[in-house]
Amino acid sequence: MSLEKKYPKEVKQLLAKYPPEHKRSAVMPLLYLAQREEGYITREAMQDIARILEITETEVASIVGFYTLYHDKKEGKYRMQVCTDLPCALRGADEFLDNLCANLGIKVGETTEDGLVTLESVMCLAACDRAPMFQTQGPRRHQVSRVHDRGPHHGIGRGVEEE
Amino acid sequence: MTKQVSLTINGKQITVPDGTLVVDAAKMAGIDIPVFCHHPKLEPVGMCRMCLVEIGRPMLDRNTGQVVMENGQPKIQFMPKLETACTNRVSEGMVVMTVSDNAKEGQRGTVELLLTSHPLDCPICDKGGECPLQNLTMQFGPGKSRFLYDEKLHLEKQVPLGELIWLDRERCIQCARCIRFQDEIAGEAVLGFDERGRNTQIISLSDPGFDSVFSGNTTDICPVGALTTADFRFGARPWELKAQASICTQCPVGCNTTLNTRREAKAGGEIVVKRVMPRQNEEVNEIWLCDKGRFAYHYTENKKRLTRPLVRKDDKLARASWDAAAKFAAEKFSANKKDFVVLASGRLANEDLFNLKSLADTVGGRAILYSDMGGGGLTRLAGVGAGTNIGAMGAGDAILVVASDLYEEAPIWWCARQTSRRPRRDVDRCQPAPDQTGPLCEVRHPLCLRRRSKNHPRL
Amino acid sequence: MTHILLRHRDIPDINTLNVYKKNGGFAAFKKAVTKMKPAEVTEVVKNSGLRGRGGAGFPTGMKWAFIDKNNWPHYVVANADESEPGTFKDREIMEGNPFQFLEGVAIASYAIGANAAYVYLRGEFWELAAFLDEKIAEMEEAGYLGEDLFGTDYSLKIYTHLGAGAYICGEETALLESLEGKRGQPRVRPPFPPSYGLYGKPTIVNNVETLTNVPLILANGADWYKSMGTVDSAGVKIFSLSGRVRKPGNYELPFGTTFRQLIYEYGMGIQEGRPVKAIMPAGASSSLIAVDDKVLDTPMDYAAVRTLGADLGSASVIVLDDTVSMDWVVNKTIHFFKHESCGKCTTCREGNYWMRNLTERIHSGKGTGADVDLLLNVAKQMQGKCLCALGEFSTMAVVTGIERFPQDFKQAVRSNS
Repeated sequence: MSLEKKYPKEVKQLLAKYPPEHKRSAVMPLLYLAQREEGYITREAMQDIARILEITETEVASIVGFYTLYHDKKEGKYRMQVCTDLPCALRGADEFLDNLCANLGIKVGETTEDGLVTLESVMCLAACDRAPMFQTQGPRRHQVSRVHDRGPHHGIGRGVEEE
Repeated sequence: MTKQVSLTINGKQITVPDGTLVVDAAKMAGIDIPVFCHHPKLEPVGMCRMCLVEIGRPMLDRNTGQVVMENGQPKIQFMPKLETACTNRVSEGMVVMTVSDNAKEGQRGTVELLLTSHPLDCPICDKGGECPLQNLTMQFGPGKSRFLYDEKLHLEKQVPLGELIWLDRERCIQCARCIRFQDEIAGEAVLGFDERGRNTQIISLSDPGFDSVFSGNTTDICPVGALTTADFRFGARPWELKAQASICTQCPVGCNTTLNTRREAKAGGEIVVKRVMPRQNEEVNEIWLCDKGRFAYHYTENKKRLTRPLVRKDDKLARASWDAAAKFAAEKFSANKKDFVVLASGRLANEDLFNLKSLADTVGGRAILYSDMGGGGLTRLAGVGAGTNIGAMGAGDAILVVASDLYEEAPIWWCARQTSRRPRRDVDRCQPAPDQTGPLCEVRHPLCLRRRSKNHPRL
Repeated sequence: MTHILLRHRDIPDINTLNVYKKNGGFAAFKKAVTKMKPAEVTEVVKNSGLRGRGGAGFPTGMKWAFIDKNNWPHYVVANADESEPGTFKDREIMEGNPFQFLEGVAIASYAIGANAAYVYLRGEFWELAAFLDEKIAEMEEAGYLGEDLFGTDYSLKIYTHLGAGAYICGEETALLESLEGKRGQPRVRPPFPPSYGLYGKPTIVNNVETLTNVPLILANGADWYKSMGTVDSAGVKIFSLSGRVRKPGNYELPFGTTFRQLIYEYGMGIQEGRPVKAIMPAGASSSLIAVDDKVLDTPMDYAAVRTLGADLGSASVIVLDDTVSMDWVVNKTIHFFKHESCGKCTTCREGNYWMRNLTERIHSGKGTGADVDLLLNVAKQMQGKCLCALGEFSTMAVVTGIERFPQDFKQAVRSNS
């Protein structure tokens, strides 16, 4: 189903944020909308967005490729994103990530066999006072995501279940 | 008239129109500043950092706003950093140094950085011999690499972007000329960058791939061997080719072209066209050529094509020499002066049509030249004709397209119309069916209304 | 002391409209719109000495005064793309004291005659964006945003816009490109946003913390604000303290507070009581300061930190103790910049890739002394040649690391030299 048919209200609201002659501005929020259900953006969704904004599909794909929070293939239902930048690394982020890998039985960038969790090493998440820091991102991500500030301990990752 | 400003480049004083880019001003003074991303037909972006130069401007007194003098000369204040000549515009009293130690060090540094991820596969590259990267490396680059060769990023080398154009991802230096051409000139943004940083790569997601009738131009302006045409790749080395000036006869535009030819054994020692390239003519096609003009030349290879004069004798056509054929024709023309009629199609160049008409006039015959534009009286009055400068399209108040689908029938004019829209112009068309040019013209269009006013719009 | 920006630490529930209003909220905006001319508002901000808190420290009022009045409409864009490793102040402001920030956006908009303002948040702040959307809706409901505000003909709408994971969008022109729906790549400057900004129209881009200062400056006057801080740097600043300190966190302090006070009084000293070896005062893009007593007693303001061969920037103070080797630090920062380089200019795109190969080799013990020399040379070669500040600042830690901590690098390549 096309994006406008699936989310008619949201598409309208998002377009209303920007001057009509600059509706291309809505490409980023529309991509988030397209990613909401499956956690990634399909070719069909890119075509939809290109049509809505009167730009080419290549231009839409170029945006998807540039920004790291857009995904163009299906991965785990939840993304565990661990910051390994300097301030977190100074407080044990690398060890924390190693433990997480061991507990989940996957490497960074991989997805657990049950398709539930993809583990990512990400750049600074602006919560260095709570280092080491990670966050989870789920399908309706605003419902399940939160900033986690637990220190490195071995239990994390074992008990990942659907909330 | 545009304001003129005077500046000094490498000690040479020149006067150029205000607003000129430093790189273009230098060219006017006969000084070449090396560039990759800069292209005179595209908007400046300052991406490749090849054109780094030192720029100084007269120092102004903060309180009075007057130029500070030193020993009777304006005191020049140089910027602390090198600047890009492709984005800075000239100003009065500017001093530019393009070959100072500082500038040369900057240019050398940029070439070195570009080469850290370039495969240096010139011997097997189609661009070799006519490659700006190769040339500028020879001129400005370091002789040796400080980068470990096996740390180069390896990427796909044979990517068909569409049926006509191939991409070598390793050779690309991310100057975006192709993307910018498709966006700014062709108006078909079917090329883009994927990812970012060192992973930045060209993509095309159109269906079919690289869906543009202007795609071949990207291979002309690509400053490396990243984009090549399916038609010419591995076809010949540039230094083996002869250049013959010609005119494209595929449509009414008459783009100026260069035919690159060489003799080939497999063609029985005949001259073979290896590729067709646009030839610069700012009043016709600037430096562009559509894909039909570029790639449709293969009809010249048809065995049935008339390549030599034939003379009919007793209902049979027989080979004749050019001299004999010309003599035979001249005799026949003079013998039948009154009945002499020349029939010629619009596929011929204006120059050929003119010559045919002169010939018919000389012998008192009649020339029927099928070269009229559609649109009747209106186009004869104000339309494209002798002396038209297509390069000036958009300089007037409006562009009126009559009875033509430019995109299909005269693609380079469509291009010119599309670029002249950058500061938006009235573009309208009068014709019975919708096409790619735009919506149907209404009688109440402001153009029609203004026609009645004192200030007739300039077309 | 009483907070000016992090007021939620003093006043519970200030993130609700009623509590904010009871504590003087929106009075400054109302005063501006009903009693002051836009130029008068700009003048007060100019006189207060407020400088941009995003890192560059450009005088805010002067920036507002640069707005091109012959080209309309105007826009205000709040830069909430907080992504510098070590910086986490804007998140706390927006979570804790959102109305003061939004009022700052509103006052800035009035001052430059903008009828629309955008808050550009980094993509990871999606919950925060939803939270701000609620707060904006409450303001509209209460008549602080919308048409004909306070009975005048001034109208204003504020919108949030989420980025999607690109540090470069903190650079103001890259941010504008991103907001226009393009790849977040910096533009060539000049022209600067006050003459050519969002959609090519005059635009003021200000950091969240900068804007959050504005309501109280307008309420209490420029002199009140100037009475805090130092001559060079007026007012208060949120110092984001992270790294090897016992108590990392945001500390709102007047400019001129010393590093020693920040680290030992507020941060409770170093873990395990170890000595401080180095400080990065402006996050990952900062120069490394080799620490001694003189450094620790240096007051933190823009001018004084410069005498240490570094910039205060966004005041994201990362503290490194004597267990940390600088080759490891530099490898971390270069990994970050290589990942975040937008790829537009050759220098940053290729330079960071090259530097990453070198720092990785050196840190993993496979490098040689020649690799260290080459790394320093490549970094210096990049300086002054990048299109924007990201590339420029990516070299800072490398150059200062090698020059100020040569022993650390010698140690790292010892087995091969």
